Formats: sequence, structure tokens, C-alpha cells
Amino acid sequence: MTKITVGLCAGTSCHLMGGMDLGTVIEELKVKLGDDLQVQKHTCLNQCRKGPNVMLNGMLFVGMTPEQLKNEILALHDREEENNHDTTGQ
Amino acid sequence: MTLQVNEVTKIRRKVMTETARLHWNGNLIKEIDQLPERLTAEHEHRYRCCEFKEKAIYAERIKLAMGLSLAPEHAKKRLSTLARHSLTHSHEKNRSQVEVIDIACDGCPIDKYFITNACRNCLGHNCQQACRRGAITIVGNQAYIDQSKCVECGMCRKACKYGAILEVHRPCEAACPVNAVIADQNRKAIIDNGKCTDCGNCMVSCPFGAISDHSQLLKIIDWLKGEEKTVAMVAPAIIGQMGQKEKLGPLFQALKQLGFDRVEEVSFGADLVALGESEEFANRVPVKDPYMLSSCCPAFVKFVKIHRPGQAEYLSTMVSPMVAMAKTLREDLPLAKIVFIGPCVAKKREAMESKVVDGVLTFEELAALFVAADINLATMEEAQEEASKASKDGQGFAAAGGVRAAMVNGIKRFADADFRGGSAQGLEECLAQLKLLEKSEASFNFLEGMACSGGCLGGPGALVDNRQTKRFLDVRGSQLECQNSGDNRLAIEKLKDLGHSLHKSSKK
Ligand code: FES
Repeated sequence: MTKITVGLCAGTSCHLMGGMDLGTVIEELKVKLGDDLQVQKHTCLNQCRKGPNVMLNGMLFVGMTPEQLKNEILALHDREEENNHDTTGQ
Repeated sequence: MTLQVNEVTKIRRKVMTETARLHWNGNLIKEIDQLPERLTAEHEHRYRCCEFKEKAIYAERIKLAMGLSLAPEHAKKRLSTLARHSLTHSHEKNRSQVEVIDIACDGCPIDKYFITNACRNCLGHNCQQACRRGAITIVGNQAYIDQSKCVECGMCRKACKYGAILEVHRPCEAACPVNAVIADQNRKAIIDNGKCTDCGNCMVSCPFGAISDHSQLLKIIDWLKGEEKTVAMVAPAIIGQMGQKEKLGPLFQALKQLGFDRVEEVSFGADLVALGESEEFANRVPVKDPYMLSSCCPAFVKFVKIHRPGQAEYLSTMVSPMVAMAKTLREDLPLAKIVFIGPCVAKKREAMESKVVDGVLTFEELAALFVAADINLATMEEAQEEASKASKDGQGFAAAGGVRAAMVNGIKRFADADFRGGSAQGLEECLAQLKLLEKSEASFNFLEGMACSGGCLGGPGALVDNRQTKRFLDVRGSQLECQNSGDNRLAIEKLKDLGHSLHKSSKK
């Protein structure tokens, strides 16, 4: 099972800097990836000046654009899929 | 148009936030001179040719954030000198609301038509034949437009079978429905204040972020920190703007934390307007007048007055929901500072002229102020809201078609009224409908005119795309106890009290 956890910062500072646009991307990908994508929400990730921010599998990504976030999530998903194949193939 | 936060929007918001933060913390005069430098350093991407120009542009943006005009007399002064001036003087009255930041304006090409490499140098030369000015010649292997002869009629573009002729619009000019944005000799944009309706469309359209309006953040911070009572009046379009879906509890709590003594919804003022305007309609149409125009959108009102003066007499005499709400509050709060919070740029002038509303913030400016004051609404999700005094009709004023819908319900009190409502969003559509009314060709006899597409939800000061906020608006509307203005007892009583003072012609 591939699992990616994405946690958008819903704090007011990140919201002002375009957090909602990241939320839209996450919603789109959720439809595509289904259970593979776990969606969380954070109230603040303590890097307000650099927002909009997001946590991806426990790692902090600052100043994200919707395109960047989409690419990051899809790349992560591909990598995990490959790993899964490798382990099940053995 | 989808609302997306692009880089220039982020820069504008950052400047607002940091300017507000300095003043909130009492460091404005001391640190403002270093702000352009700090912002240039913080922002890794460099958009301009050099750091010097980048800093100069930041300085101009800071002036607008401090509520100052970009007049030449402000050009050479230090920001701290200007800040001191801004804090102690009330702002110049009759100036423009929207300004072009000259050095940020790219002076986009203004040759409207030009021929691309897709030109095949065909035998037909349809373009050449279509041009009545003889502006097209064949140079080398391609057609070429002599710009000194071109009158921008566009016939060549229509004639070319390859679609090789490109039509270029400057985004700001294209966004302005009344041609108030024009180019000066240096191809930089300037705004013709005689034509401008303050709608704010050009601000959001410029890819260089070169057009902006004046903010009132500094004086509002002073009021919040000062002794006077302060009231925040939020426009119905605020629902969903701060990221809490249809919930208003967190917003109300955050506004109180910011220092507002009272928070009120302008939707209640909209109920008053729906009641008053439907009564007015029943009295005027069709006996005295053939039709009536709504008066709640200040950019639409200004548009009619400037560009359709012959139809101005058909505007409703009702004040806007903002002013109506302020008048109800003034009764018990004669000295309080009343601040309207909405998505609108044109409200800033309307408020100033109304004399009952002291200040205006856009949603964007409010969010910047929250951030400046370290207030985070995401931590207040649990905050409960009090029962709303407004009806769903009143709240519905925020979306295109909402005023008409409220009128349909309001007019039911007058059994024999012949009400046929129409609505228009965006000034182009408003113009088309006004022309129909003038020629007596319209199927409606009441027109709701909204300068922004989507209504107020689509205003230039909004933070969230209006298709999303419309959903939140509908959800909250369906939860309200009172659905129609006509059932709003409190509003009916208030209207009786205030009666004439809610009409613009009255002296009171
Ligand atoms: S609000 Fe997102 S990091 Fe603080």
C-alpha cells in the first residue's frame, strides 16, 4: 500500500499567501490517488514568513506553488509505487 | 476568471502585512526606511533589472499601503517623513482611489495589431486589400503593418486566412470597461479620473502589479489602539474569505481580538435596503418612472452618473447596505469609529462621501492586519457565532442576482406591483442592459447592476475564488433562521424608525 501524507497549513498567514490554491491541488489529487493520499490540516507550521507551507510525509516544504506541490506529490507517489514493486517482486 | 494568488499578489500582500506589522508594534517611524531593503533581501526572485529599481518599487508600494498618493511631491521624501505625515494628516479628499506605480509599469506594447511569422506571404494578400488605410506592405517575405497609418480597425486580422495577425491588448486597458486606462507618451498606463468608476478591475489584471489603491491600514490601527470605540461592519461577501468555510465564529472572535468593540453584519443593512427599495419601487414604477436601477454597488452608481447621465434619475434613492447599517449604529454610537470590511475598492470613496462610515478595509487588507497582529483564525475553529440579525435575502446581496432575488420577495408586500427584475454583472453587461432599458426594449423594469463579475464575491479585494465562496454563502444562507427580508421583524421596525434618512435625497 502506498501512503503519502500531506498536511496543508491552514493558518491565516499561509492563507493570505495562497494556501487555498494548494488546497485545490490537494483536492484534485485526492480524487486521483484516493486512499493513497492522506490529507491533514495544520494550524501553523511556524514558518509563516515563508508561506504558503505544507508538510509532505513529515517533511516541511515552504513557499510552495500549486504546480510545485502537484509535482512533488506525484513524484513521491511514483517512487513509492516503484519501491512497492521491488519488494513484492523479490 | 479563476482567482489565483500569483507572485505580484504575494508581493502586494507582503508589503501590506509588513507595513501594518511595523505600525502595530509601534516601530513604523523607526524602521520603515529599512523596509524596502529588507523585503528585497527576503524575496529571492528578482523581477527587475536591478536591486535599485526593485527597492524603489517597494518604496512606492509602501506609500500606497500607508495610504499616501504617489504624487510628485512625495517622490523624493524619506518613507519615515511620509509616515509621520500620514499619521498626523487626514488623507487628501478628491484624489484618485486607484493609482499606477509608474516605475513598476512595464509600458506594455501598444501596437494593437502585428503580423507574426505565421504569415505565408500568400498570393491573395487579403490583409492588404482589407486595409482601407494602405497600412500594410509586403517587406521581404512577409506582410508588415506601418503603425503610423494603422487605425486599429482589425479588418486585416479578420481577413487573414492563416490567423497570422495578432491582436494585443494591454491587460489593464482590456480590463477597464470604461476606457479609463490610457497610455501616456512613454507608453505607461495612466488613469483618467474623469472616467474611472473605482471598480478596481485594472488592479487585479496587471501582471506587473503596477496598479494599486490606497490602504487605510495605518489610521485603522491607530483607532484600534486608541481610546475610541470601534465597530467592524463586515460585508456579506466575507463568508468563506478567511478559510473557515461558512463559519463566521472564528472571524468575529479574531476581529474582537484585534480590538474592535463590536462586530456587525452588513447583511442586516441589506435587509433594510431590500425592504426600502421594494417600497420605493412600488411607489415609482410604473406610475412615475418607467423603470428603476439598484443603488447598492458604488461603482455601478458612479458608472451610471458619469457614463449614462440621462439614466441617473432612475437610480434608487436608497443608500447602500453599508451606509444603512452605519446609520442604524450611529444612533447609539455617535462617536465610534465605524470600519466597513468588504471586497470592494469603490466603497472607499463611497464611505468617505457618506460621512457615516469612517474607514474601509478590503478582505485582503484585513487578513494582512490579522497576520501583522499575530492573529491566526485556524486556531479558533471552535468559536461560536451569535444568531444573525439578517435574513438569507440580505446576505444574498453578496452574489450576482441576490439583490433581484431579495426584491422579488420584498415586493410581495405590495399586491398589485408589477415587478420584473433583471440583473447584470460586470460593467459591460450593465451597459448593454441600460441601453435596452433606454430603448424600452427590456423585458424587465428593475435592474440590479453589479460592477464585478460574480457580484461582490468577485470583487478586487476578495481572497477566495467566487465559485467557492458562493457555495459557502448558500450553505450559511440555508441555515439562517429568517429567510426573507419581509419576515425580518427587527429590520421592519428599524426601517420605520430611520425611514427617510435612508434615502439619499433627504437632508437628514
Ligand atoms: S500560518 Fe502557515 S506557517 Fe504559520
